[in-house]
This record gives sequence, C-alpha cells and structure tokens, in this order.
Amino acid sequence: MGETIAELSAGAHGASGDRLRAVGIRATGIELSLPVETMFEGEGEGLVVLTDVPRFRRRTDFDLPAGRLEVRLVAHETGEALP
Amino acid sequence: MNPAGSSVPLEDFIQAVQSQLDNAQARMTLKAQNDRLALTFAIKDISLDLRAHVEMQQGDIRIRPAGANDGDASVFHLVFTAITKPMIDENAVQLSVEDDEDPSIDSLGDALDDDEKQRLERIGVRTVSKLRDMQRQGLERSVGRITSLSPEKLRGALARASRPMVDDVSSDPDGDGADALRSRLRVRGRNLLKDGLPARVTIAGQPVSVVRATDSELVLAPAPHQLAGQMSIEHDPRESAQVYFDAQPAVRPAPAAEAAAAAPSPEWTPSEVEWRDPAFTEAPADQGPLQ
Repeated sequence: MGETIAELSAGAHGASGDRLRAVGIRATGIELSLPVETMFEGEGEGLVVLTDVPRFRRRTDFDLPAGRLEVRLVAHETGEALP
Repeated sequence: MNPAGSSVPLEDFIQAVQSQLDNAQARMTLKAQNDRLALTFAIKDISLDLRAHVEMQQGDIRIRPAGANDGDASVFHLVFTAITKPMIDENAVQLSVEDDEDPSIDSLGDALDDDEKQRLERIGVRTVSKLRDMQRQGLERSVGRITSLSPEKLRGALARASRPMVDDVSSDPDGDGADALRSRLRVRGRNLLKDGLPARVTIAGQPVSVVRATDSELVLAPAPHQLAGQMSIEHDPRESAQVYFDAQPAVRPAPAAEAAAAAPSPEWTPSEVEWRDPAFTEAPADQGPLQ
C-alpha cells in the first residue's frame, strides 16, 4: 500500500507536474480514488497490507473483490514540517 | 502470503497500515530532496474500503480479507488521518515504564483471569493503583456493573495486589547505642505499609514489635528466641506473606582461639598458609618411593 501511494505521488511530481510548472500552475493537493485489491502478507508485527489496482478491466470469479482506496495528498515545502 | 482463511487482529492491521504510510511519506520526502524539488506532497488522509469478514475472538476484533468469488464479505471502511504531535499526546494512552510503585494489573496474577483483565483495560484501568483509586472513590459497584466483575472479586484482587512481599530478612547492623544490646531484624520488600500503617508481623505465631516502617522496609525488635523461624507479615489475614528465615548469630569460637586466629604469624605470607587434614598422616621422608 505504501509503495502504491508513493508511486502515485511520484507520478504527480513527474511528467504531469513538470507540465503544470511549465505553465506557472502549482498543484496544492491531489485526491485519488481508485479500486484496489487487498491482500495480507505475514502475521503479527510482520504483517504487510498489499493493495494494488486490479490487473484486468473485466472481473472474473478468480479475481479478488475490489475495494476502494482514497488518498488525499497536500503540497508542502520540502524540509518544512508537515502541514 | 497470509494463510488462506486466517484472520488478523485489527490492531495488527492498523499498525501495518500506519507503518506503510510512514514509509510512503519518507519515500516522498526523500524523492523531493533528491530531485531538489521545492514542494513535496504529504499524506493528509486515506480512506480504505476493505472487503473483509469481521470476527470477534476472545474480545479481539479480527478481520479476514475476502477471497475470490466471496460475495458475502462486509465492507470495512477505514479512514486514517494525519495528526500532529500534540494530538498524539492528548489522545494516546499514557504509556509508562513498568514501575514497581505502580504495577500493571497483570501483576494481580491469577486473582483475575485474562478476560477479566481485558474488561478492566477497556474502561481504562491498567494499573493496580488505578483500580485502588476507583475502589477508594466508591466506584466499585459501577466498575463491577460495567465489567461484570463482582465487588468481592475486585476486593479479593486488590487484597492480593496489596499483600506484603518480602525480598530479604537480615539482622540490622545499624542499631544505635541504646539498642546495641537488643537484636534488630531488617525486612526489605514491598507493600509493607497500608494506609500509613505497618503490616502486622508475627514470628512463630507470636507478635513482633515494629520499630521503624516504610513501604519497602521494616525494622523489627524480636525477642531473643525470635531470631529464626517462620515470619508472617500481613495487612489482611486472607493475604499474608510467609517467609522462613534464620538470623541467629553464628557460634563464636572460644576467646583464646579467636585471639590466635586474629593475630597471624608475621613470618607467614598468604601463599604459605595451608590447611592440613588432621586425620592425614604424612609418610616419613626416608621411606623412599612407594612400591
């Protein structure tokens, strides 16, 4: 789950972020809402929650039921305390 | 992978999500620093709809993610939001290092079973002193009603928790001049005072005077025949501490032998001192080697 969120944030920083900056626009926040499949790996303190977007558009009986992950990210200056 | 069909405690799940969110935040910050970006993003909140089965096992909420073709699963809606340090301090349960002065209710041992301890923890009673405070405030019945623990059970558990505990019994070497001719016993332990009063002490069934008392130490004035035997210390006859001890002075050697032992021969050095078994007779030196 952490990697999914970090990758989505990196995407906002990447090509789309560069295009926005080129025209003088700055993203101050990002809201994502996407279907995810969730699984658990490990147990106890080693438990890891795995979430990823469904691999196929068409669902089959073999796919895990999709839940939903909504993330709100806010911009802040690098090195400053989190807002 | 988590074994098929097995559930995990909700606490473990929340802790795992928190840990992964921390990692995600650290990665985003590092990336911004490495790319020399003036702005980065912080996670404000996340909301997760998890298709799962929710179970209760021995008072714990456990969740089991839905498998493929599992249409009957519930939707578990979780929202995590970033909070500031003052909010953490305000809302977190006070964590304290295990303290001898304020032991946790686990120290009640088998006076309460695990389920009963959990019921107390759910209403915020995590230490023996907290339980005692509630009893002092007359909240015993309310606690009993909410937790389904009878007042007698709570009283019994508290009596167990406040019973005296003895770590050490020794003769007191610090007697002052007036007490020099009387023996003193020093008892070290815990819970030796209750409501400011020392515990009752008996040795071999006979009471002993308490000369000084603190919660962790008693100084006793035993009669000459009370320097060994079974000591019983109690606030409540139902919960007493029993200890066997022997603080009688060792038998002293005769004065002449003591003086001889105190003045070693000046020619001897410690390496020359040897102990000889008087029963052993050394063979004469002129006998030659043994055949």
